[in-house]
Amino acid sequence: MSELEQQLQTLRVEAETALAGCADLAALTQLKAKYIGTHGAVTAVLKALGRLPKEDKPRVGKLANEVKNTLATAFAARQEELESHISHLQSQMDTTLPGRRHRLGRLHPLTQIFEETVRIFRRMGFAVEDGPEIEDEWHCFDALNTPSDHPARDIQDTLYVDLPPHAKYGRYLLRTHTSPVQIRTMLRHQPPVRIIAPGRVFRRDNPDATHSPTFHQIEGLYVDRNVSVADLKGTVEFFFKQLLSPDTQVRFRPHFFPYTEPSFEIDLSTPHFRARGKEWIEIAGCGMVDPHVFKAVGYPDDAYTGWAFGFGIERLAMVQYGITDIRLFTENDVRFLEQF
Amino acid sequence: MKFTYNWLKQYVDFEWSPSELAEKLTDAGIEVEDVQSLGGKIPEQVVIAQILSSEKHPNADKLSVCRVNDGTMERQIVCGAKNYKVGDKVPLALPGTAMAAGFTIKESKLRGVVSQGMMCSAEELGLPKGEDGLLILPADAPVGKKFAEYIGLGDTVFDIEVTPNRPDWLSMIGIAREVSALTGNPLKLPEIAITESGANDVTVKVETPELCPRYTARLIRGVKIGPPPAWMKSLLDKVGMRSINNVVDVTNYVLLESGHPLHAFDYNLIRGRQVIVRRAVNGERYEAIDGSQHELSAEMLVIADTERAVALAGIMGGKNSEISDATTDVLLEAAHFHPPNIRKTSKKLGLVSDSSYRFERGTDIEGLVWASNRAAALIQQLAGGQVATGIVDVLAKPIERRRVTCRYAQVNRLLGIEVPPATVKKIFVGLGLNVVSDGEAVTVEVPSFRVDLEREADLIEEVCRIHGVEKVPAKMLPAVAQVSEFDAQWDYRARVRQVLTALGFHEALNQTMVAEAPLRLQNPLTSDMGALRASLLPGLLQNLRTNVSRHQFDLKLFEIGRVFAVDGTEKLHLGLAMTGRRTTGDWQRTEKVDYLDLKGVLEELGLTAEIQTIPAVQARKMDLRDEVVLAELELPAAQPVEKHYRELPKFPAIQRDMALIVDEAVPHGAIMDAIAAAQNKHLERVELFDIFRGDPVPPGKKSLAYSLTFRAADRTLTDAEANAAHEQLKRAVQRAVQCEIREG
Repeated sequence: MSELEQQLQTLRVEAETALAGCADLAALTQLKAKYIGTHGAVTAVLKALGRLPKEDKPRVGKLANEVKNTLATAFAARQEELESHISHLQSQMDTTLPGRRHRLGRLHPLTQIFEETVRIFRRMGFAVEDGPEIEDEWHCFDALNTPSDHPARDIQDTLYVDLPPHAKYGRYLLRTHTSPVQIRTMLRHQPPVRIIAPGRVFRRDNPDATHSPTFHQIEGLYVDRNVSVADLKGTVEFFFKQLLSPDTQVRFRPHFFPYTEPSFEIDLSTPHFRARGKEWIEIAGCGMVDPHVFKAVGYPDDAYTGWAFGFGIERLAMVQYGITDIRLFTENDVRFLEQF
Repeated sequence: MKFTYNWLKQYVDFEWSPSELAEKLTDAGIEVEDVQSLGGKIPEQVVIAQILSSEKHPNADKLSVCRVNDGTMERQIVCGAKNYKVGDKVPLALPGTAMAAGFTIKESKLRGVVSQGMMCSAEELGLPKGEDGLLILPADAPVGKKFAEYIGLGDTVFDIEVTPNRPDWLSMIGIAREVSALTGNPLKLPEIAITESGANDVTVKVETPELCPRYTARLIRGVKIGPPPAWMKSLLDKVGMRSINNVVDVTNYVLLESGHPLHAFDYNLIRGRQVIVRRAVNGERYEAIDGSQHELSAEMLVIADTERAVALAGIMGGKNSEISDATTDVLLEAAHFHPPNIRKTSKKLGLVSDSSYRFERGTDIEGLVWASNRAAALIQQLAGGQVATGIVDVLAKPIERRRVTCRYAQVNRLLGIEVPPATVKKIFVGLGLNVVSDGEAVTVEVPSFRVDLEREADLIEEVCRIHGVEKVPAKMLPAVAQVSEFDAQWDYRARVRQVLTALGFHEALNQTMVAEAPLRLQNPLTSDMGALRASLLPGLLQNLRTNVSRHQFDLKLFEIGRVFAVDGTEKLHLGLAMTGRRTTGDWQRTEKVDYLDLKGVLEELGLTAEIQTIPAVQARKMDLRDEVVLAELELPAAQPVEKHYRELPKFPAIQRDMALIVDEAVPHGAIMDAIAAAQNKHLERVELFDIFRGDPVPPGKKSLAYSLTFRAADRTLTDAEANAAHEQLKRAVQRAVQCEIREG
């Protein structure tokens, strides 16, 4: 027996012994590399065959291949054994342990109502519009048929910003409603105008459970040649049924706003509200755009009619979810935010 | 404004219960805020009785024996009071009445004389204490009527909110008119009976007809100031108005009844017997009835005598001429003032009254004469005296009733339904509008109490209101496609929010008003809301504190909102804040977030911002627990998203690793820069996959391990090419930074 044959036999015994004691896959991979890998010992013997005398080559070569194959089979068998052992262990895993999650964050509940509102109005061909939070008196009041001597200005107690007044548009203020977006849009575009304007508004209110000096509104405006109260009712009903539930009942009540004539308040009744013991909930204001407003934006006299509506998001969220303190919306307790 | 159910019934008939009335008014646009039923505290068995005779008690000096009529029979009552005379009407508690004091009235003998009941004082009935002795009722009090009903207990008080366009609803008659329009029942105005005698010698001079288009004055001489009758006091109580005396209460009562403010002066305190309506003199001092002191200016209107201002026109009378117990002659003012002027003065002085509230909204220039006559008659009835003949009436120019035209076609166009012309006209007539011409359009004359009806749209609103908006069907809109420039911005913000929530961030919203910021408010409500936020971070930091104080330690918050510069510029910012564990959903991992976590978030968003770190040591001093990382940036405008397709590689890549031992001070960026500068054409990607410190790496050094991917686009790269590229990069890095390359 040549030296190489001797070496092969030793390697085989050595490898088989090591294999028997190998208990994990990582060690197995190392062993495999050590004996039959590219740089392995058995592989090295096979590479050395070329240096043997011609008559020894077939015999030793046969043996070397035999050893390599035997070991390869043994390694494969051992690998399977180990793997099935692991999968057996895994099958005994405590599946009641909590899952490993990548928790999603939540949108603020007011954002969710904004986004849902925009989605619904886009289905009806409305575009989204925006305007500044610092407005001037003309855009916020005068153009909306609320001149400075009008008692309606008392209803909205206004916060004025410490800036020099605009030469033409008057003092700067925090907008008390999203309605100036109507004015800005109509100044830029001729009808048809169909817009929805979500935004933040401000009032000089002391914060308490039901008042916040900062809150949010959505404004809608539709102007065209012959827009009517019937169109207004159709749109408002469609919207609230989509947003709240198909069972929502909508009631219009005559009211007054300087910028619409006739004006209405919108009351809603849903099974959800009724379950909370409230028959009708006053939720929004609306009406047909006052001719003075069309005049302010320079639309020709009598050419167009239109409607506008607006509602407060906080109030809607509060009645919908049964939230009794408006301050929760700006406190940002994650236990609150995670519920929506 | 408050009114009561029983009171309203004096002016119009209707069959509705209080809750039905509330509903009808609400549907008509009068918002009913509160309906309160007044529990009757006065026992049922107290009735109005008239004293027929009174004699001395045979056995007691201090008692009398009266015969009274209780409406059904004559009774004998023993009585201790002295303030009555025969013929007076008084409340009588019949036997069986459980009195508030805790005893029950029985028929019994008092010092040997039978007494069949008890005549009561105000106090004994639980009413506010009046004069000593029996409660003497007005002469017209109906004998036999239950006293509780007479005084109005068991009534219902309505609190309504009247929109600024309908000042006519700030009165009983105004609401009754609406009920009349709704029911078709006629309005019942009280009869006014005045006996005039003596001359009305007051002279009135109006210097500013533009601010006072009409001024009327009546004179009532020889009145006796005293308490008002119980019914009036009780009524004023119920609607929340303080009772003063009989004359002042009449003016307030008529204000509530007619909606027209009146003022009563003590005529003997009006110097020169002359009323002058003029502008105030700059700096003129004035003390109002409520005791408040004011310095007036020339744009304000006063009622003056020949020497001084005696009233701030339309707002509040002066202390110097108010009705007192000594008053005998009353000058009664009913006037019309220019609403914006009243409003400006009231605002400027901070002086608001029931009068100013009505004058600034607009009062009835014709109806004021009725109010004046009504008040004069009531004063005469309740305080005695003689009403001087005639009313002094200074009218700047003849009153012209407004005419407004309404096109029938426009009614249909605006409402979206066909309303027949006959229906439209019927609605107008029901509201007191006179039709003056008719055709394609109807022209109506508007009564002076409807200050809000000026234009076609106002009339169409009346049609809609009375016809009923519920008759208008809901119609779906015709299709129109609209897009604004802002749509893309809205969508971009929604995408940013979506990415952040996917990364585990909750969205926060904070107040815009803060204590300190460069841009301030002129009229803040409180000093901690005196400025407009210049940054979102203080709010987010406060949110972290709020949560940590409630034992929620793992927090990721963002806010998208506007911030303000000192010049009023608005910017839309995104603020981010993180603290606590990195993966809150993985219970086995407890690593805390740091700088690189927030950097990764920004990278995911494709945005850059300066990241601020508050180390745990410092955070603990701020009522936080773990390290906090924050960032804020201006949210850029949405850019059009361009998407490019690159063919997937067809040939295999070759991977090589490179481990460098460098000084701690050497940044990863320097190595990346060196690799990029080498511009190796086969290098596809470089990734840092490990940083290692400790044995065998010497102290003060670190080992950075990179994985390099090489590939050729057009063929399979050979090992030799990959090795050459690998070597080139190693040399490039070695030239650029001091390092040792570990082979392996």
